[in-house]
Amino acid sequence: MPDSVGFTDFVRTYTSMLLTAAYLMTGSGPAAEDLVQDTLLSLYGKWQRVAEADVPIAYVRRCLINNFVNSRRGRRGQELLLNELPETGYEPGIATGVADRDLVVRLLAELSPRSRAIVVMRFYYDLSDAAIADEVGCRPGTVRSTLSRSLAILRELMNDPPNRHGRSATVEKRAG
Amino acid sequence: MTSQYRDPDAVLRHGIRDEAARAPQAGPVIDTVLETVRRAGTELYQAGSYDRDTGVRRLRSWLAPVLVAAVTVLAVGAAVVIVRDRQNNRGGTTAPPGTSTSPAPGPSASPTGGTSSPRPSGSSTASGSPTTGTALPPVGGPVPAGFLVADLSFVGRDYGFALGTTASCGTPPCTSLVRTTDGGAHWVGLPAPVAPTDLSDGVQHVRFASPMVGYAYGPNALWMTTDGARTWRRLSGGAYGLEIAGDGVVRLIGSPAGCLPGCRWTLERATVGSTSWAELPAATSGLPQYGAGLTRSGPVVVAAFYGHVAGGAQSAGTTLLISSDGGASWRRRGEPCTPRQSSGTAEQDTRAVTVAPDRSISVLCVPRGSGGIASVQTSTDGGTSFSARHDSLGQAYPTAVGAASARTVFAASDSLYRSTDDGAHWSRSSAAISQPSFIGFQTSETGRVIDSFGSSQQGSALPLGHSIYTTTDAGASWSVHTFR
Repeated sequence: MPDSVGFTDFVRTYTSMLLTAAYLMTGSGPAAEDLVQDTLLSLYGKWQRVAEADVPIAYVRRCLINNFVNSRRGRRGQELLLNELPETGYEPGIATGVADRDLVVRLLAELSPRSRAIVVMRFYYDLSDAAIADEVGCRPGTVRSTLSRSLAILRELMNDPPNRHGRSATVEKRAG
Repeated sequence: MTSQYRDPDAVLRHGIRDEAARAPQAGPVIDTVLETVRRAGTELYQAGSYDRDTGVRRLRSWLAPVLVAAVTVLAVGAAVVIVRDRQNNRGGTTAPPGTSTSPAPGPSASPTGGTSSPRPSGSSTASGSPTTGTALPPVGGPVPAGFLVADLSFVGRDYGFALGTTASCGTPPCTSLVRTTDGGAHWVGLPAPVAPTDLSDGVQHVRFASPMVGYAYGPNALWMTTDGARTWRRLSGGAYGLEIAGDGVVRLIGSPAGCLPGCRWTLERATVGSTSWAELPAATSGLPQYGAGLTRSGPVVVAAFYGHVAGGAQSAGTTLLISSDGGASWRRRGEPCTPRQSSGTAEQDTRAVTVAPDRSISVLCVPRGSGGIASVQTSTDGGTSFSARHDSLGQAYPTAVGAASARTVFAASDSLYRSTDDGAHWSRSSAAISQPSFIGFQTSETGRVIDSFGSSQQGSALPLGHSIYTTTDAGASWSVHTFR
């Protein structure tokens, strides 16, 4: 079998990490599995190029993000796939009063695919502006402005609980 | 609630970490990808030609010689990558949220300064900046032979670290770190801090905030990595407990070094990946001085301070400091374990504390002296009140407690015991767990136990285990991974 060592080891080591990134970007377990699977298999035929990259995982993650953004091209905004139906109300936590996870899901639903990728790379993987720009394929300034805009949206959402239909005024305003 | 915790940046970081824990398991995807490739045999996919519905596309005959050459180059390239990576690696390990805290043992010597394993320039995190540049986690090498687990830390559903040691190695210290990316089915060795696992100047515990940023610590030593354990740097001081909370990390310090008993306790917080620590506003004067630890799940952090329980000292109970906002503010309460007056049971002391993913707090209460009956009591109101105690745990002398939720709690003694009714009734685990030394729940379903049976290392005060048991159904069933 070709590349029984490099490819197999890579898949065993990094699939979990790629899957997490894919899940955070797509918001759906099945969609994340498809995205990771398709990305890895499409790279198998040019694994030499991956293996020779300075940082193979960065190369693969770049492909993952490209595949994700391309697959969503032409579709904007609210079509974030959800694993489960949005909760229709808040279940206040002991301290926060608001479930941070729900806020994040709502925020990601607000963002374009590229912006989602930028947010995930920063807030889950702790990558720098330059590294994110390299992986997502934009300028560091775009990364900074996207993150700033995302935090502003989140700030709005934090002050704007969803109504009984699970929609917040912020989301409805933007959708409208 | 404080503005510190409600900072959007912290909310986003915390929420993403919670959401990431719901990502699908990697195992099925790994199997599918590798099986698809295996079925392809020597036929390589061409870029963009992969068809998910029909599987492998046949190669044109003229491609065969080209592919042979490509495979050769690819194999050499992969080998170079692996060799290069393994040269950077030497064993290594970490721990999940929701693990219990019990008295941290032992006296210690003063820490020494210094840095750790080989570190490429510019790869470590600067003070105050949580970003990690382009550094990415190392691929990893083989798990050290005879690896024994001391502590676990998971940053996602499948992505976790285990810290431990080996009985012998080429060049001591033999402290090792390993990582799994598929929920514990497979592990690889990673670089570990160049520190022993003893209490004087070593590390016994591990916590990772993300795949990149993690901490290995003991009462008198604290090491941090910001590049997925590729390199480690030593920070000042140590930690009797350390937990990731939101975008911050909280540590419990006992000073001066080697202070037990008689420590002055301090709680500090830093941004994840930062070297700048700030003291937290916790009322730490007059706390018991015979041991301490931290436990956390979500924003709920509990610091437990244990008294001297020998000799029947009535005032030697445990004191808890409880934070519900990631360590920004703390509330103090006295011994949560109380004897049941009607049965005249012996004085009860808190032996361990845990926070479940649903933010309930459970304490393991053990009798002072012999003849009493142990119990687990749970609080669902942030530690203000605890459930009535049940005497059904018997006279076993449990050493650890874990909780998947307020209702489903676990106790460790000669086996793992599980209750699904808040400690009223207990059943022995069907898994062959003989000496559980660690119980941690990442979610209300997924938890892990280290079994120390048959792996005690002579001269080590650290509970070490060959086996990690994993449950994905709140402890109803367990699968095991054993290191050889």
